[in-house]
Amino acid sequence: MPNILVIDDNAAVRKAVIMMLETSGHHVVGAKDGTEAMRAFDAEAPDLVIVDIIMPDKDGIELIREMRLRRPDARIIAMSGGGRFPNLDFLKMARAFGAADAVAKPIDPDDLAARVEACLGA
Amino acid sequence: MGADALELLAESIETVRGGLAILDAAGSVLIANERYRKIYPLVAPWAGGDGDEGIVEIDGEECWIRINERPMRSGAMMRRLIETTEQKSREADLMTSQMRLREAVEALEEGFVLFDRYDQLVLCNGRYRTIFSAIADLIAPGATFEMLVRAVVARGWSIEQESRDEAWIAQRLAAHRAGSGVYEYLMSDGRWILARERKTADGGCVVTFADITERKAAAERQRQSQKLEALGYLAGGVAHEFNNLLTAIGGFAKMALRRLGQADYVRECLDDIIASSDRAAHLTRQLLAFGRKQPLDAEIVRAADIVRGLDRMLRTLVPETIELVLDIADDDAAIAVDPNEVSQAVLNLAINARDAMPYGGRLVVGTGIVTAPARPATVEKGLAGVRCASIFVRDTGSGMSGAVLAHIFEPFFTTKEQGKGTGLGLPAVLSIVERSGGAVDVETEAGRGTIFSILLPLATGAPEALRTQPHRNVLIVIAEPELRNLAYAALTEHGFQCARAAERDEALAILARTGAPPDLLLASSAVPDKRPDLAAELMVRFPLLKFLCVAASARAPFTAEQLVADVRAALDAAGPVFLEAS
Repeated sequence: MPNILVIDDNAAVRKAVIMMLETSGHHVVGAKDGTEAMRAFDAEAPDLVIVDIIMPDKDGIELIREMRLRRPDARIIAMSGGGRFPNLDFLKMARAFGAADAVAKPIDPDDLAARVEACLGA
Repeated sequence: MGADALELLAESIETVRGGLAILDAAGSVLIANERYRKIYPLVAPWAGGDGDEGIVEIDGEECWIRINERPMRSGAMMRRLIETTEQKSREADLMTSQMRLREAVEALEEGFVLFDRYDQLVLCNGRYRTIFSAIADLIAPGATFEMLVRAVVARGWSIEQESRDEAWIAQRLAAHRAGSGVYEYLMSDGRWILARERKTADGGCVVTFADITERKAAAERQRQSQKLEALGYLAGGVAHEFNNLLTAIGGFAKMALRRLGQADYVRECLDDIIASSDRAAHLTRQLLAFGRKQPLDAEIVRAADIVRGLDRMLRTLVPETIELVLDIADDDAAIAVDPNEVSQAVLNLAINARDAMPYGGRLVVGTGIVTAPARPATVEKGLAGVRCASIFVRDTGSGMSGAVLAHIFEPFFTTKEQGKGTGLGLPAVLSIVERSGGAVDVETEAGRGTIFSILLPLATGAPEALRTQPHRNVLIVIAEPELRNLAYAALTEHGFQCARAAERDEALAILARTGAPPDLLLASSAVPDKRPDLAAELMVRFPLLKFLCVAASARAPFTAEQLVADVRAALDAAGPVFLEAS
C-alpha cells in the first residue's frame, strides 16, 4: 500500500485530504509545517507527497525544491487556494520546480483520487 | 588779503581731497590746489559746468570726476573736482546685486512676494503675478497684504472661502499676523496652491506659492492604486481562506456520504463541517466589521471602565506564564465610542500581545491621558499634539521588525500559524478605532516588546455607566436535560430571552443561526466537552458577555427562584463577570 505524505498548515484541510485518501485505501501521514514534513519525508520515504503552497515559515515551493534535491524522483502534487499575491500563479510555479501535478482548492475528492492514481501509476 | 592770509589759504586748499580752485567773475583762476592743476586740463575738454561728470585718465588709471561749482558772495566761484570712482563702483556693485536678486527671485519656480513691516508689498516675481492673475491689476509695490487678500476673495480666486468670506478673511489675516505657517488652497480653476509664510528679521514677511496640483494628483493616483492593491490582497486572502474552508466542508461532506452507515464516522465529519462553517461565519463577521465605516451605538464612557470590564476575561485568555497588570490612570478620561467595539479592539491587541510572548512575560493593559505624538496616523486624524485618551497594551514579547511593522494593518497579513490568526485582528482594531475618530500608535523594538496605543479624542459630557439598558438574552448550555429544561422554563417565565443547548457545538450553531449576541452564558461546570473553553471562546466574540456557572450537576438541585436571582445579579454587575450560582 503506497505511502502518501500530506502537508498543510490548515488542520481541517489536512484532515479532510487525509480522509479522502484513506477512503481510497492509501496509507497517509500528515505534516503541519516544513520541519514535520522533512522529518516524515526522510522517515517514511513516501511514494507521493501532496503539499500546500502558502504556509508560514517554509512555503510549499521551498519544500518541493528541498525534497527534489534529496530525491530527484520524488513524486509531488502541489495544492493551493490562491491567496495573498493574486498576480502569481503558484501552481504553475510549483510545476516549474518539479511538482508532477498541481491542484487548485477547493479540492474535490474524486478529482484528487484520479490525480493521485495517475501520479502513482506513472 | 594779506600775504600771510593768502599763504594760509593756499596751504589749506592743499589739504582738501580732490581738486579745488577759486575763480574770479571772469573765470580766471585766482588760486588752485595742485590736484586741480593736474586734473583740470584733463577735464577741460568736456567740462561744461556744475554737475557734469566724466572719465579721465590720471597716472594711467581711469577716474570718475564730477564737477561741483558754488558761486561766492564776492562774485567769485569755487570749483571742485570731486573724484567719484569709488562711489561709482559701489553703486555699480549695488545695482548688480539688486539685479541678481531680482533675477533669482524671478527664476524661482514658486510665486514669491515680500511684504515690509507695514505689510506693504515690496517685491514679487512674475510667477506670483501668474498665480494671482485674477488680481494682477492690484499687484504693485505699496499694496497691502489685507487689500490683496480681500481682492482675492472678492474675485473668487479660491473656492474654499465660498459663502464665508469674512470668516475666511479674518482667519487668513490672523494666521498671517501670527507669523510663519503653511496653507493649502484649492483654487476655483481646480489648481492646488501651497503657500508658505515666514517672518523676516525686520518684521516683514515672505510668502511663497507653489502649484502642487500635479503632486496632489499623483498622490491621489497612488492612493487609488494602493487601494486597488489592498483590494486585490484582500480578495486573494478571502479566496485563500474560503478555499481552505470549502475544501474541508466539501471534503468532509462527501466523505460522510460515502459512509452513511457508519454513525461515528459521519458524526466526526459533521463536527468538522460545523467547525469549518463556524470559522467561515467568524471570518465573514470580521470582514463585515472591517468594512463598516460608521460608529455604531456611540456613547460617552470612561476608557478606564472599558479596561476594567475586560479584566476577568483577560485573565482567562492569558496563561500563568504571563503576568497581567492593569495600569489605570486618569480614571475620568471619557470617550465617545461603541464600548463593545472598543472592548473588542483591546482584546484583539491583548491576544496578539499574549501570542508574542510564548515563553511568558508581562502584559500591561492601561489607560491615561496623553498628548498624541506627531506620526502619520495621528496627523491624518488631526490628533497630533492633541490631548487624547489612551488605551494601551504593552508586552515584553518578541517585538516587530520594520518590515513586519509596515504591513501589520493590512488585511490577511499574519505572522501566526495558519488557523491561529485570521490576519484580520489588527485591521479590525484600526477600523474600529478610526470609526471612533481615533488613531493607533505603535512603538516596537525587536526583542524588547511592543506598545499599541489606541488614541481617542477626549469626549465632553457625562460618561454613562457601561450597559445601562436591560439585557436579557441568556444562552443556556447545560448537558443534563432536566437541569437545562428547568433553567429554561424558570428564566423564560421571568421574561428572559433564552436559547438552550446541550454542548458547545450546538451552542455555536444556535449563535450562528440567530446571530443575536447573548448577554449571559449560563453553563454547567460539567459541560461534557473536549474543549472546555466555551466561555472564553464566546467572550472573545462578545466582550461584554457575562458568565454564570451552575455548580456540579443535576444531582445538586437548585431552585428556580435562586437561579433567576443569580442571573439578575450577574446581569446587573458592571462588566463581564464569572459567577458561581448559589
